[in-house]
Amino acid sequence: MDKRKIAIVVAIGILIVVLLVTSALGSGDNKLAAFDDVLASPSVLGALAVSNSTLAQIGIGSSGGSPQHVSAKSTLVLNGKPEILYVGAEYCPYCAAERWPVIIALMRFGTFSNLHYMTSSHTDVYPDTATFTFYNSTYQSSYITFVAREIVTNKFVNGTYPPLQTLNGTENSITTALNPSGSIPFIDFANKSTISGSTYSPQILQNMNWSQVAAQLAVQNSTTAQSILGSANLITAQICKATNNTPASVCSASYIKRIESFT
Amino acid sequence: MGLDTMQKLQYGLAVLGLLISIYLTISHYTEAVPVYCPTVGVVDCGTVLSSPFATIFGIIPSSALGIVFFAVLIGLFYYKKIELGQYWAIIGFFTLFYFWWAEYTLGKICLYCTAIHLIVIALLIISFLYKEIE
Repeated sequence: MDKRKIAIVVAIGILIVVLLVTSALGSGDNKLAAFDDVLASPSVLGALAVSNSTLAQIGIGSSGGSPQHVSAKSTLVLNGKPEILYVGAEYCPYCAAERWPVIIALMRFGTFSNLHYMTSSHTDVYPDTATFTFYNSTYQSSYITFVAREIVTNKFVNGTYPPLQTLNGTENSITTALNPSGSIPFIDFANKSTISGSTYSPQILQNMNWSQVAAQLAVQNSTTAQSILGSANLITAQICKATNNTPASVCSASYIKRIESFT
Repeated sequence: MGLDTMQKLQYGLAVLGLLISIYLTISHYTEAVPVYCPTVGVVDCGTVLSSPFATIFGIIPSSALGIVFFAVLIGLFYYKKIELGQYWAIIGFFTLFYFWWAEYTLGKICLYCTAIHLIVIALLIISFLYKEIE
């Protein structure tokens, strides 16, 4: 075979692959919804295991979160460890935004498995925001027990979102007492502090798929990194308060202590 | 394996690939022709065939590419354009990288897609063997 012809054929083959990849990753929020419930790729999850040095440089970033101190007498404990309770919904765009820093923060204290992709509602504000779902995922940690409740799905059926998970009696009592407005996402850090709503705007994630968001996390001065990683540090500080600053490898960091002091 | 056997094998594989591509394309457009495929572990034709990777620019089903590929290949075999057939098979082989990346990204495998991938690889190998013997 003629080497020049081979080179031309190979070039054509590569060009076709590039066109196909461009087509798949091209615009169209509705394409992201096709990834709902698909297992999150190792490369995206790997990008969420952000280094301590990067997080230290970001600090609070441009996170707009404002945790509320809780003056409860007793720490919320489950399985012998402080419980971090998350209440959200798959349709919810603010929950979609918040899951990114929640996952990054929780990865510093334990390991997730079986995380699946999800997109927020196609018919709500900030439609099809790329995110994950905690439904059917597993989290293991020596320091905390993470309980996630995704209360409804993201599929609008007959005028409503079908229910997914329910809160038990204790969880209902907590949300009634500490989140009377019922806003989501809601996170209770072992009754030491809470966060209601998202700590940054889902607008930042618009028109990005998971790989693109993950890639932006590596660009420290990007709005995405400043928002998500800043919020991850805020959430980490709340978890540290819940665990009495354990482990030291995470909670003794000066930037975490600084955030703890003013939140 | 003689030239005659190889030729029959090439035709047979290309026709099989064409039929599978036509089946997937028709089922893309109508629910009246469902895709029969088990959903076990990583095998999930539904997820793969309804993903963004299953259409080109959101319009043309990827399986239509298969129809074009195998139809052209059959034509080249018929007119005994052996070298052109070889080049065409190489291009077809390159597109497999895109579909493998798609399945890796989704974490799912489509059995029909896998069958087509194997057919393309087999046709590429046979085209080189054919040229060698010829």
